[in-house]
Amino acid sequence: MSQIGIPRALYYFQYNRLWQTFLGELGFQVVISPETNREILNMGLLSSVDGFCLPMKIYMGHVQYLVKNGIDRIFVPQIISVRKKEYICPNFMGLPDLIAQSVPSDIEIISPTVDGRKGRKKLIGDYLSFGRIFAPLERVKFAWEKAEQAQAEYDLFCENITSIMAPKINLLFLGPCYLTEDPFLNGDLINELDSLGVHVITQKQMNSEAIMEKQSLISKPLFWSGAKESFDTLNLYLDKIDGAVIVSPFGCGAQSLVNVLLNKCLQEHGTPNLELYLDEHSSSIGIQTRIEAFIDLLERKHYHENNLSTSG
Amino acid sequence: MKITFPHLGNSYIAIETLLRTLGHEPITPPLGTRKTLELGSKISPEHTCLPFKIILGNMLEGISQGADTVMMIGGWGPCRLGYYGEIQRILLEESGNDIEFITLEVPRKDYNKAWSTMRKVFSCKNLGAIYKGCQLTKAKMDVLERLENLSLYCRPREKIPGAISSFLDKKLQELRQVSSIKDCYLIYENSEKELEDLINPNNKRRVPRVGFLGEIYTVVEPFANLNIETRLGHLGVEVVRTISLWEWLQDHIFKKIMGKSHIEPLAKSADGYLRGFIGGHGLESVAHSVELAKSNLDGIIHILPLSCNPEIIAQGILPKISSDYEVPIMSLVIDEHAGETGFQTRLEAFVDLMERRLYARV
Ligand code: SF4
Ligand code: SF4
Repeated sequence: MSQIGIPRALYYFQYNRLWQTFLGELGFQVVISPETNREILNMGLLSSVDGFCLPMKIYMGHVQYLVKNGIDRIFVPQIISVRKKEYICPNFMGLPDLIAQSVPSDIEIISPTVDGRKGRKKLIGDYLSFGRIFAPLERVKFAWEKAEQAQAEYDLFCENITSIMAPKINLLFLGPCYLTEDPFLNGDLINELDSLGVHVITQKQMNSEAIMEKQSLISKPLFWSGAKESFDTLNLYLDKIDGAVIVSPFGCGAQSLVNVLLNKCLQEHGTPNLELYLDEHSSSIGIQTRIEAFIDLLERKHYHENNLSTSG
Repeated sequence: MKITFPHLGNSYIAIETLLRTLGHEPITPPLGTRKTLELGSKISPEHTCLPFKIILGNMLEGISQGADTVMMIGGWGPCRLGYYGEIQRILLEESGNDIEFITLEVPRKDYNKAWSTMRKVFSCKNLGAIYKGCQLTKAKMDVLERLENLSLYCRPREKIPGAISSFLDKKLQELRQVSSIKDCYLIYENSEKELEDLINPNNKRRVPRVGFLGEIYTVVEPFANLNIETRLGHLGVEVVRTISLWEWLQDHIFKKIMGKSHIEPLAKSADGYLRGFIGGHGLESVAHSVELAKSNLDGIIHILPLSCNPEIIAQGILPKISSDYEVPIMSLVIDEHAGETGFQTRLEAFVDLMERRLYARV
């Protein structure tokens, strides 16, 4: 059976179930690079242009890792858009061509173009016609159904976990899932918080189309899916959370514009918030100290409010 | 309304005409300086791209000169430029500027708002006058780009150093004043003749030619690119542009940017390097590099602001083109700390390289 590698970075964190199942059902043996570590980061830095944002450098590192470990076929989809009338970061459009320049020429880059700007039908069509390269239509359709199902189950699972609010501190993490889901990048923040009894909500489970209609918080419609997901999550949880952390990759200009909007919303609503920029030098200790101070603040506020309400 | 607007090369000359036509008073901010950038940076998010900050600085300077309205272009992605205006509006508001903010773009959803914006913009109701004014605007835009291109050709061939630049400035100011299409083209024709006296007739040296491309704002705005075209000219190099500002503006405001007809020929040129549109001008940069590499140019300079995604992708791909076609290509990343000395040194080294290559072949 032929092997195919998926780099554990960028949109992997959102679509892993979908891709893994789909490729598996098409007859590939799927190999996923391990969680980001120092070695992967270093390989990424070596094969990147200086100006890349951190997540791109990490992605390059994962590709190099797969190549080094003898995988000669790598799945690098060209994602243009995941929802109607929206784009994702331009980086994803050029990614496969960039990767092709950075690996030896005998490495095969498997790269469907996925463009959902015209709607979900088109997006599915893109995946199906990609699958047809490897299998007859019936089989591809079957593979797609299984893939969608696997992804949906996983999304639901995440949603269920998130929707149970903790009695104490509920903290919303806004920022791309490839930051919040990668423990190496965020200094294992999420697990750390978990162990402190803080309930963390991320925007990972914002895949569903239903919520996308609401955009009451801003005046010009956003056309980046990532940013929209931030706002939809915020819309949904604004009244239920004690605070919000905005995580951004260092050197991401798009995110820094969106942060202006996010900050404005949070401030107007009186929600305490913390902005964290992550780069390849940020130490997990540095991040943790800032978060702990922030949690302290939230706890005091929480305590204060509860005391007021019981005494008054 | 007293309307201010960001600078984009010499386009202010045409924009002033357009605004007057529509019955407004143009408030042209001073040309970009370090102060512009400082003003803009002060209220900008730290990590956003350089053009955002300079543009915001232009707006602030325009406002302090008495503008009550800011005009900006919008758009619908994928690049951030489309969202610049919205964020700038918020930032201006938050820093206590009470102004009207007009974004020019094809509307989505909120048609009522778009309509009321249009009503405000078209405050002059005389359609005939508007039509004539638009024609004049177009002519000015056309002539100013032609004048710029002339000076790109003449600068490396000038008799007296600096003569072409001051000539261009003089002609641009003339163009700014005239009010008929005929006069615009007269300026151009005269310039062509007058320039003949300013260039060296018996210079037999073959002048190296360099293609210039990259992110549109940094390509077009001299303050952002540290006057690169003039610098190169004075180093004896002819700069060949690949971008027409006028075409870009038309595309950006009026057309569906990703129209097939627009993309296909580019994608064809870029074939083998990049499969299609990647936002901003990334595809153009790759496609034009291939085209220029195939033509008889001596080098290519690619310019981009720090953290500009589409151009970073291009930057990652250009070295391949450079080695495939054996043409020197240099990517220059510009950020707000870009120092003049280091910049000049890099240009000189690159010019050196081009010259050695050129004269080795001759
Ligand atoms: S959105 Fe920002 S962090 Fe994400 S890939 Fe694009 S530039 Fe990088
Ligand atoms: S093209 Fe580059 S500089 Fe322009 S808005 Fe996009 S990212 Fe910023």
